[in-house]
Amino acid sequence: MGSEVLLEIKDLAVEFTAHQRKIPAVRGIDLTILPGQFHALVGESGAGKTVTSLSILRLLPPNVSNLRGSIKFNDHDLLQLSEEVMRNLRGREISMIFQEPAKYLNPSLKAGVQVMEAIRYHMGYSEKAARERVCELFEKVGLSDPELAMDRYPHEFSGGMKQRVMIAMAISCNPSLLIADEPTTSLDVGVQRQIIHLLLDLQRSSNMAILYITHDLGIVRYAADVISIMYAGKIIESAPKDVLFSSPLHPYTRLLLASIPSREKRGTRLQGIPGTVPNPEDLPPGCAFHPRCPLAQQKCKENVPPLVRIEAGHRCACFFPGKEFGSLL
Amino acid sequence: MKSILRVENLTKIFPGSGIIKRYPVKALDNISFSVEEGEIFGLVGESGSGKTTLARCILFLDPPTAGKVYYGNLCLNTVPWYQWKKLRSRMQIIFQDPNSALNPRLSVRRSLEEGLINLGYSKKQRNDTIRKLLDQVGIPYNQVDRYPHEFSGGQKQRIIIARALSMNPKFIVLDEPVSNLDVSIQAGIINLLMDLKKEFNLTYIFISHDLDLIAYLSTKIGVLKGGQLVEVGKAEEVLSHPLHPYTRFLLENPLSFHSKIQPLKTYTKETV
Repeated sequence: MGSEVLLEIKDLAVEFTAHQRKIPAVRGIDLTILPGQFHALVGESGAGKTVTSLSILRLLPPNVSNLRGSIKFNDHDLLQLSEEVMRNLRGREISMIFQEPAKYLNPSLKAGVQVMEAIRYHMGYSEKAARERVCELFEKVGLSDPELAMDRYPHEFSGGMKQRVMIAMAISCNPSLLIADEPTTSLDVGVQRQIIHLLLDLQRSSNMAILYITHDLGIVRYAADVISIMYAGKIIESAPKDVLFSSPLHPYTRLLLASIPSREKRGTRLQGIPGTVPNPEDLPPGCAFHPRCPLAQQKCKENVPPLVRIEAGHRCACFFPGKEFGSLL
Repeated sequence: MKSILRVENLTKIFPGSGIIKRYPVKALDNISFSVEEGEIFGLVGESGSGKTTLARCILFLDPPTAGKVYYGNLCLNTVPWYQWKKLRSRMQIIFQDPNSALNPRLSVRRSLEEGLINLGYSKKQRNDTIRKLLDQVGIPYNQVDRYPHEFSGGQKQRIIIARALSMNPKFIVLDEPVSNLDVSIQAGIINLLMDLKKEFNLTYIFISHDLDLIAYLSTKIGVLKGGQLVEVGKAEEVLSHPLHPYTRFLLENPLSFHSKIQPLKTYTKETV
């Protein structure tokens, strides 16, 4: 794997203003994605995962009141580029798929026409060439009978098939980064499996990097290379998959992993994490996790722990990384 | 053990009507099972397999097209309408989305009170009961006059559980009670449900698409597929000796966090 970096987010912070109140959705995160890497961004609802991905594509809603930091993509700062350059980048270099494919497909246009649009715009293909390309793509994403599928309308596809159309659209211009925002959450187990395998195949065959946003640790365990865990707008732990699962350091990560029910835990109590995810409008001072943390000390209430390197590739934002819970639980 | 609920040859057909669905849909096909007192019957299946329809049919929220449902020895098919009100309090249901199960215009107190008024409780009895219930589900009593939007999803689900409990039910149908909640909150709700089951000697029918969760808490497991109950049995047996290929398929899901199937690749610090 090359040492060059595909995407480098530095100190990104996004703040919204709604009803005269400031909502810091992302509060200074650093994230690096290498070419061809499957990077999973894990967090609960409201952690800032989606805002992070939308800022990469500069698709944030207009009520952003404060945007700080830099997003370097192949040495260009995406936050500084003109809207015109950005438009040429979206779909071509960086593309995105979403949780509900049905919402992002135009119901009144045939599937083939929708996929062709990006190819013709970005690559300047003729209609005939674009049609052939779509055919090829549909075959690649596993839509049987691609010729027929092209002339179908979105409602004629099942949920999994719609997601395949979305993926075909997203990879149509061979992007080097695909952002996938919970693409399998609304799908059934069997279909989930197929979509994940499809993404992994595409990642390997065309060395495409994937930023996979999810709260499902099962998918992450199966597919990811590197995992970053987000909590209340910050990355609190980041490590290669096997390192994270074998030696998680942040108390939130450790409790989260222990909270997942399984057959082996029958008859025992689930771990769980006391309290609730903090409201972004009303974050606790210091470490945002301290009100729920069994290890919290005075220090945690006053100071924000920085995300520091613990060992190669493993970063953690906690004053007491890996400290035993002991009798605290 | 005494069976508390018995379902015999239950079939539900939604008649085709209108322009969109012109053909009748067979949502449930000849389903039979029984649930013994104190059990947790885990019902697992994918979306569209008929899980929610089955829940509604058992409680006669949607009357089944054919087949019988027995509550103890009482056949629910023959219960006259004026007896239902009393029966309903014995069987409660908790839905998936806590945000739409509470009336946004009623305070928590009003939401919880409604059923108790129906049972003929005095004002003092009501207040005492509500205090006790909220305490049991972990909601501070001083928040009783707040409105649903002031609570998080997990807290709302706790309030809904309190409301179901206020009727002193014998069994509760839980239709995906935690799938809308965050992982860290889910565990708390599950623990609460298990505690309450023990304390009140409840019987649960627990519906979920998450086999890991069903495997964690059920004593008996039923697998639904396309409106048919393809496998049903004691949890340990279904989990260790699944007979139906579909059950095996679900159990062998590599995307389950605890799957024994090795990931396609490993990625350690050496490869960084």
